[in-house]
Amino acid sequence: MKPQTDRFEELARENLAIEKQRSILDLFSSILKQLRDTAFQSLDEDAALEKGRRIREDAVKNLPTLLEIFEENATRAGAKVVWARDARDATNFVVSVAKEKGVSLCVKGKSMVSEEIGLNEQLIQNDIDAFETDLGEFIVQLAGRSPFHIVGPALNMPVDEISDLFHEKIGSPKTDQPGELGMRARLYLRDKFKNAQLGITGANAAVAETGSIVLVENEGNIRYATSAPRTHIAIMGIEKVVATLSDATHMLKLLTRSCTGQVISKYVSVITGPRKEGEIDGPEELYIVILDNGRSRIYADEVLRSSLRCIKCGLCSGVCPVYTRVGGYTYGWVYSGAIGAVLNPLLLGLGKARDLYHATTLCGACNHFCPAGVELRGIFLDMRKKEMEGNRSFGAKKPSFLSRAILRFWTWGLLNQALYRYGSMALRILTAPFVRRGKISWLPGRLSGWTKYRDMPRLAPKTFHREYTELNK
Amino acid sequence: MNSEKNREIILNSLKGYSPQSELTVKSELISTAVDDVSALFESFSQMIALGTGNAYRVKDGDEALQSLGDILSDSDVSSAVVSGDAFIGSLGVKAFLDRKGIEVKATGIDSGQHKEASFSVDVGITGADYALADTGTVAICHGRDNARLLSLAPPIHIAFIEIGKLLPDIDTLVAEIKPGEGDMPSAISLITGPSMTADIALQMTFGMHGPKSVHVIFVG
Repeated sequence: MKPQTDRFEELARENLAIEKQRSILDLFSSILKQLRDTAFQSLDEDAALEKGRRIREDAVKNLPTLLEIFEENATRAGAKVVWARDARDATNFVVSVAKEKGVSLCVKGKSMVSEEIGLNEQLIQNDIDAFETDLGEFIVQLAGRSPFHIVGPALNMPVDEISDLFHEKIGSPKTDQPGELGMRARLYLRDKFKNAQLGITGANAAVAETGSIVLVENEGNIRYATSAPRTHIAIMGIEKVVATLSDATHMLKLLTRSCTGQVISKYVSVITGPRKEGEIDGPEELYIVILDNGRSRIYADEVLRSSLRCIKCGLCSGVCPVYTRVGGYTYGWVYSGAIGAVLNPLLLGLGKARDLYHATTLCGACNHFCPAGVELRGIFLDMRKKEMEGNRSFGAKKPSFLSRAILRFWTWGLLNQALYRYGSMALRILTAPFVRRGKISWLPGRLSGWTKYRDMPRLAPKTFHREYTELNK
Repeated sequence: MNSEKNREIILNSLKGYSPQSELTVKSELISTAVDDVSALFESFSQMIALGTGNAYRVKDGDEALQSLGDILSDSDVSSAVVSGDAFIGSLGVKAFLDRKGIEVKATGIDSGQHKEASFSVDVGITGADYALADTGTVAICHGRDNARLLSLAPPIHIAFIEIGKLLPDIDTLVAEIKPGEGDMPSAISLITGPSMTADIALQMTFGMHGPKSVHVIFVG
């Protein structure tokens, strides 16, 4: 999937204009919050969140050790663990396994990391039919779009649009019933589940203690992908590992509650190695691909590291005042919402996605709700700092000379009391001609960049400092 | 791609920034005491019902078969797959289905036939290793006698389980499984009612890819 993260402004305008999408987003965020709050009532919410955040913090802290223990235990259980440094490594490996086994049909469970590495394109280029089998992902694949939301990839699409799509692509009769459309997809994919020679999934967690991977879903498609084909390949980012099964089940409680407001998902699979001797189903071979793809570089940075705690529940989208207006496409790549504004720039390079981490209000709703303790707000600020510094290792492009000069001047003024006092006096006089109805909405020349998206309130007639001094006389 | 070399590079890079402190990798085993089985069953049935699943509690094997008969006659079933689970064997499920004129398709011969049977029948009948009261979940540890597709591919799934295997919650399940001590099953499935989706217009629809209806019969 070709990133369009440099088109944020344009995409935001386009998406804001889609009325139907706006109302679905409003509905989605209000339903999600209600379901989430209800689901958390069966836990001691604060204690459970604190424990979850600690589990993810510790797991990330001990990442290399846990990965080694995971590898050892998974290998002992009969899985083949493979390490991939980037998207190309991983897709090449999957394609080579598929070719070696003569695979012509493969079924995929929903996996964000496989979107990240563009796996489908590679499989299809190599004449391997790869079907997304999660209903939302299936729709998105048929439509040739990108996921609108980490968890609900097609939640923005109106029923009639999906009905037309199914009619055109899989020949099903038109209907206005979501349930009927679901049944059409069920019918269409059933043969694929039965005949696929390869199942590809992600992993919601990898358990060091047992060498297991944990998969969470509602539809059953992941269970098929891990039960019916002869080969199963699971792809996981290096950050997915936790120490123990009890850590994984605790995170599961938080994941489903935060993700869809369920106390547990319909299915949870704990997979440890391939099928054992005498078993009639399950894969004969299980490959686990551990993918870096820029994560170890993130790990090396103390502030950015907390982004690796993310468990991809998607709650930070549902509570984000930006996402719930502009929707998922605006983020221009695989990850959307608040975590998308963190991960897309970090994985693609800050310079290629700079609008994403600037288009945040820094309200901190994402931080507040995050069950894994990702410090999103701190990361947004840090990315802006790295941009100012022209940090090369994260692909930042230095801002223009003018904006750097203004900011340096600004800092200088803020740090000196006299300068601040006289500076603000001067600014009041200089900006006065541009005040309209108490606001400054337009500035001339190159300064118009600042007011293009922002209204500045008129500067108060007296500074707080002066008013305070006068009051205390 | 050289996996071995990648491994070195990735791990070395991470180790440069990881504290490398002492770390114990051992699950916390929290076992919640069970004193009131009726309350657990009550909670199980309420929770599974939220997702349109059904729970029953019967006294003994005879009642279990009777309950099975009721479910089958309600849902127009003509063929079934049955797991090789010892508890299912002891209940005499296969003979019962024979008497009812329901064809039991063999699943134990080869993978191809097993798949063919599981995808074509109306109902899959299995045992379950544990049940979790607070979420209405059954846990199946798959193995030689508990194939994975039986509880997945047929549109109806019926599970029999001894009441003594009803646990309070997932924490107790972890304590029962004792991870790290001995081998784990190749797969454990936690199943909470019928399969579901809300991917189109946020509308809940049951029976997506997995079973459309799920019945759990507790015996004892």
